[in-house]
Amino acid sequence: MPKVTIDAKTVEVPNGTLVVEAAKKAGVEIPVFCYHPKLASVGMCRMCLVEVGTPRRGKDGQIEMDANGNPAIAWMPKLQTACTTVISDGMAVRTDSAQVADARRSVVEFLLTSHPLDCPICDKGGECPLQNLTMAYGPGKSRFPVESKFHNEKRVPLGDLIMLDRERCIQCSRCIRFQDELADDHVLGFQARGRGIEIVSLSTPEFDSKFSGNTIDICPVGALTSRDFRLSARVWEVHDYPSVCAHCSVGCNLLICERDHQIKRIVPRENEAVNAIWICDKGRFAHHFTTAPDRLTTPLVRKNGSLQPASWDDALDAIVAKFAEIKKQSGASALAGLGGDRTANEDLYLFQKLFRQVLGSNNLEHRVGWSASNVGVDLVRMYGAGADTNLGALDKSVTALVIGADPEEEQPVIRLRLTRSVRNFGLNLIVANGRVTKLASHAKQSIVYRYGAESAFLLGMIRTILDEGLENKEFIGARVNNLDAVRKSIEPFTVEHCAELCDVKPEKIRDAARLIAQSPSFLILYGREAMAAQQHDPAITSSIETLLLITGHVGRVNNGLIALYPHNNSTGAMDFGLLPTHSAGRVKSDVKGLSAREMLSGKARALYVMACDPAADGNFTKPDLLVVQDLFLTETAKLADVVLPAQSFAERDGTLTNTERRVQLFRAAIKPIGESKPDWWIVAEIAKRLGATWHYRNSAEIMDEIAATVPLYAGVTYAALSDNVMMPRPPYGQGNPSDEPTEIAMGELENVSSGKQWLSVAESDASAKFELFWNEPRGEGREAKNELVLAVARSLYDRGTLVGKTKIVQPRVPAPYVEINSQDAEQIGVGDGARVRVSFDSRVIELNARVDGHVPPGTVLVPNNLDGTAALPMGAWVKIEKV
Amino acid sequence: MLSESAKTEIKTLMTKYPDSRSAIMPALHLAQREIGWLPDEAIQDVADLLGLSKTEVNSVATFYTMYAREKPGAHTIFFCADLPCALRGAEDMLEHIEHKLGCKAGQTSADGKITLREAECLGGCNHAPVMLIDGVEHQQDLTIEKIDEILERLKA
Ligand code: SF4
Ligand code: SF4
Ligand code: FES
Repeated sequence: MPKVTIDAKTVEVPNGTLVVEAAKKAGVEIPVFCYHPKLASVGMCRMCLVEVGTPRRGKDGQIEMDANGNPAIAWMPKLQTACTTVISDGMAVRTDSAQVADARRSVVEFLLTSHPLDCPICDKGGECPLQNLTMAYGPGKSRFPVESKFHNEKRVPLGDLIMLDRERCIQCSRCIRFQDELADDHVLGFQARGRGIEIVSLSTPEFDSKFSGNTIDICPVGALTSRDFRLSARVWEVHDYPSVCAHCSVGCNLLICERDHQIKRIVPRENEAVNAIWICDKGRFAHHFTTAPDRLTTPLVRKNGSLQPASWDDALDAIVAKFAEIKKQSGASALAGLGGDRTANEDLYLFQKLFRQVLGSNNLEHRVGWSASNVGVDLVRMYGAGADTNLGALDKSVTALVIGADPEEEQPVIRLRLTRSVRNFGLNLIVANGRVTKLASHAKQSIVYRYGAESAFLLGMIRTILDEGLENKEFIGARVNNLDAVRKSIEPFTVEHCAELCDVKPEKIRDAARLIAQSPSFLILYGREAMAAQQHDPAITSSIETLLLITGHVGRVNNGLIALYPHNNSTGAMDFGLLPTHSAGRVKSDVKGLSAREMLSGKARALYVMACDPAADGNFTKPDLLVVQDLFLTETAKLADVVLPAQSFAERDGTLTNTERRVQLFRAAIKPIGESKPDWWIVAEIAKRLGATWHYRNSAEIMDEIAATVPLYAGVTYAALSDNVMMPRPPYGQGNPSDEPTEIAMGELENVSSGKQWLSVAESDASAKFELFWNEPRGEGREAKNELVLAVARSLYDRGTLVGKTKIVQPRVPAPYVEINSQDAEQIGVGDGARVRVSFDSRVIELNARVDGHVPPGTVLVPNNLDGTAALPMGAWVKIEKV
Repeated sequence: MLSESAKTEIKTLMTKYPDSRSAIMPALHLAQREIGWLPDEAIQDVADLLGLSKTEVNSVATFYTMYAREKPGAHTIFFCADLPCALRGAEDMLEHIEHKLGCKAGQTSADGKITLREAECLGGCNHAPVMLIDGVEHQQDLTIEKIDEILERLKA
């Protein structure tokens, strides 16, 4: 590796390293404003000027030596920007000379000629690079009279979430570059030139991006501030608690900044393996549900027909008595538990333990309102992507197939990270879905298949691989059985036939298959739309497995399967057997319990609902005993006999398992609201009153038990989850100012690790043998006259209880709509924005039409988490008429 | 907003660059020639054609002084405000024009006839002071008298 000498310290760094990064390695601080390690260099601010020289070569091309026998350095006559200069072997850099100090002083002095003296009333004060670098490198005094300061507009709303102060902006373009390079929403730009240059957004709505809040963190001054946090606390007054986002299955690492037992703001916490230094706006802003005034504060018991406040003892005793009574009358099979996949692992583990061990019932579920078939419980257990697969750093040796998913709406930060992998590292991305999603614009191959024919597309690829002899013969020979049977069954499915079934050109199927087979590494990420299709078509499951196995792409880092689940702990709910078919550790149960649909239709006499709201989706029959444990008086809670107030993620400790099977620890940040209790505590109290000898004093003890008894979680204790990673890095001035997290993470913190992933069977057992199996694809007949097929998706901002409590994000929640292809729209006689009536089965809903080219002809799409759109059947035939 | 022929012309322009988005500047010129300036709708049209966002096109359109994002008068005068012209009395002359038009540099006269804008070097220093009219007509070795004549002519 090339050697570089910086202020007499010599370091070895890889080719292509920037001087500023090499200096970091040598422990030398080079101040920067416009440079950001996650963004392309532009060299705009000149703060990083240094002296640069290279070895002097004589006429003969040989390096000349100085009197001491060291290579003589030819210094460049002018200072160079460290953020754009790439190192070369033997380069010398001086950052400690008078010339450099003078340049820094001048740059700061110049920046300050148009910067207000706002620090005392600026949100950024205390964590502001301009403030800090002015103290460290600036002149004590300006030569420019204060009257000559340049003034510009202050308090310019830049959309609903962010406030812009134009005179604080130092025109570094970090915000613009983040939006262009990573968020891929090109909605920020400079306007005009010279001193009059300003940030504008011309999108509708303004600053239309799901990632806008990140620009607040990376703005090196107080030009971009949060309209939610603005002026509500000084950053040195808040305490930062490490947490994990409660909203989606990415599990972004957060800091909850608390003051006076209130959440003042949420900022990202660096974790290169999960979210790098980014979070989405939902995770950042939609936290007000935790302290909403309508949080449940005491237990409620139904008396004389209405729910009335009660003591914990009364409420719990009432439940236990009724549980015992029903069990005696109708047996344990009349008791059922519906647990939400938003609760922590400790809660889920105890919940199922209560049912399976104390009550003796296997009636457990967590999937309410979304697909209820296999959804990869076994697939992920077998072939889950190798541990340490980093979705933000997949290079050109990796091919990723994202199928039936829309990460932009459902797992935003995963979309962001895949974009980075494509742009910066050359990931080969194949995006396949029944419509065009945002991620598809980055794909090397974008495939739009016919909804309902997902398996035909997968089979076409398998067939290509087998026909062209591209399968991994060595792996199959050693580890895979039953290929001959599959070869036989797949006989009628030629690529051409599959192509016709799924409406994709045969060559596109072949190209995708070849890319996959020839790639050293291959990942499948499959999402909710594919999972919903799995319900009707088991060939999707078998094809995913076959595709992974015949190419041998399992059991290694960057290989295998990632199921993109909807909620923050969907994986945990499966891990701990909130399923009628599997118990804790994803072990298949002998007896099959009731499905969610059966529980809700009255088959269970006693139903214990923890953190979900099945009644909101309709079709709910109240059982004899209904216990609801939640943060709010949900639709289901309103019908309950007993309501128990639970605590939000901000009030308690716990662990969550993200969609990549990464177990992460979060810590309490604020005091409990009212008399609310952690879910695990409530479950344990009920168990104790039913005679169990449980003695958990805190959630860490539950995790200790899990770590000792559930093999998937072997060794995953709180101690293991808080090992040796210090947060944050040193504050400005004491460490390196261009280390990203110093701008977002201030204050003292305990240790937090980047999480622990459990290993799939393919990874943990290097000699495991795999069985291929065949499911006949179930294509449906098409071409029904005047009918369209319904695709159901989700919108990031929804009408749910959690998002609904944060006013500031409400304008971002879309009005319910249906996306229609322009051809179909023409036939129906409607245009963009028209009102239409959508009818299917026995339901009719009225929606706004969107005609913007995202769905193919014959398909319409409705997000099912907006007003009145709950519980839509994916793949149903619908009729659309003009209103 | 843009005529079909202008759109076709822009599409042809796009084929001349390895990256079709590079056609942004000629496309904006074309739009300005057709409409006289660059209203929001024109920015949107150019953005749609080039596959860029409105914000990005606006950045280019506002960076270069020869694109007009605000509706100009019937004529536009660029008056040089650089050093050589200033040494030859341009500052007084600019003040004179402002007085005559009843508006400041960067504004349009009340009758909507003339927009006055300051320019950096117009490349005629050896004949300073210099002005550029409607992007095509250079006037040099200016004097107050000469300026009055020009203004009369443009106002007529
Ligand atoms: S708003 Fe902040 S990040 Fe954006 S250009 Fe200005 S100083 Fe830089
Ligand atoms: S991507 Fe998901 S986990 Fe991350 S901040 Fe957004 S909602 Fe939270
Ligand atoms: S020019 Fe190097 S950090 Fe801005």
